[in-house]
Amino acid sequence: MILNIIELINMNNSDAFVYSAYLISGFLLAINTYLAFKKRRAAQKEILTPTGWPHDKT
Amino acid sequence: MFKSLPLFTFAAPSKFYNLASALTPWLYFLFFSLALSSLYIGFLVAPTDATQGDVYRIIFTHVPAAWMSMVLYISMAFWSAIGLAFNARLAHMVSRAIAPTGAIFTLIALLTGSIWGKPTWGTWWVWDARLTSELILLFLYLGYIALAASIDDVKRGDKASALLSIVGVINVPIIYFSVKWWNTLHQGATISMIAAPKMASTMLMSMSLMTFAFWAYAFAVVFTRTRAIILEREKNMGWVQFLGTKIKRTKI
Repeated sequence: MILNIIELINMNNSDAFVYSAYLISGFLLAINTYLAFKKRRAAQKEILTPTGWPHDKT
Repeated sequence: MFKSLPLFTFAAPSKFYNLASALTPWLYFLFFSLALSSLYIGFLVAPTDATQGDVYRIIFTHVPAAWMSMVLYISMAFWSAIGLAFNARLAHMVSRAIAPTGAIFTLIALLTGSIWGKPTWGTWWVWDARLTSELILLFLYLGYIALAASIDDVKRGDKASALLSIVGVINVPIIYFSVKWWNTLHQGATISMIAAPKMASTMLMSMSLMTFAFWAYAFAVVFTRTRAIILEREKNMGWVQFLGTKIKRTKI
């Protein structure tokens, strides 16, 4: 699909420009959301592991 | 007097954590609803532009993303200033949480603008004032993220990155007024607070909906990141350890 869009962009197809703009926007927002959730999961995991629990070390 | 204001209650990380946890799912839901409505109106209801044809539809993501890139930078600098002035630890955390989302919106504005530029201007990029100042904004965001991450001492990192964000805020009015101050290839503002809009109402509706969608998205992701930073920094506090036992119980 991406190769088709690139080919259409080379042919100056206006729909291809619009779709690629929205695909890139959606992709970047999805990556950002994924990274935010990954960070939160890592932080949550840290408080559940023994290293995050000073009183459990004994 | 100020102590009686309930707003200040949420300056405590534990209170803010609970508020953010409650609001985040609703904000993601709001984002999806508004974005889908905007896409429906933008692609299926709004008419084709007389001069640009269908390629103008990039405006529904390009302009809201560009607005968000500037608004998020101002709010990042604002919370940095609050953090420096009042030594409020949550303000620094929020500031750090805003930076990646601001950088993403700046990148979206630059890339979609470039994609729009090719069919309308005949080139992907020109070094005109609007595009160059927006690129500088991306570098400021990246510089902020890199500086904050490179200093191991959290408090020193907060202070250094806060200073960078406050100094960099001067770039925001330069971006906004660049199309007025210099002769640029980039068009002037289509929407103004004091003049009637120069576009069809359906186009304006789609763009406004996407702007609100991006606002909801920004709040949702910033809240998600702030919650992570709170857990990282306050992991030895009693309330976080209590939260850990609660999570453990629900998992068992």
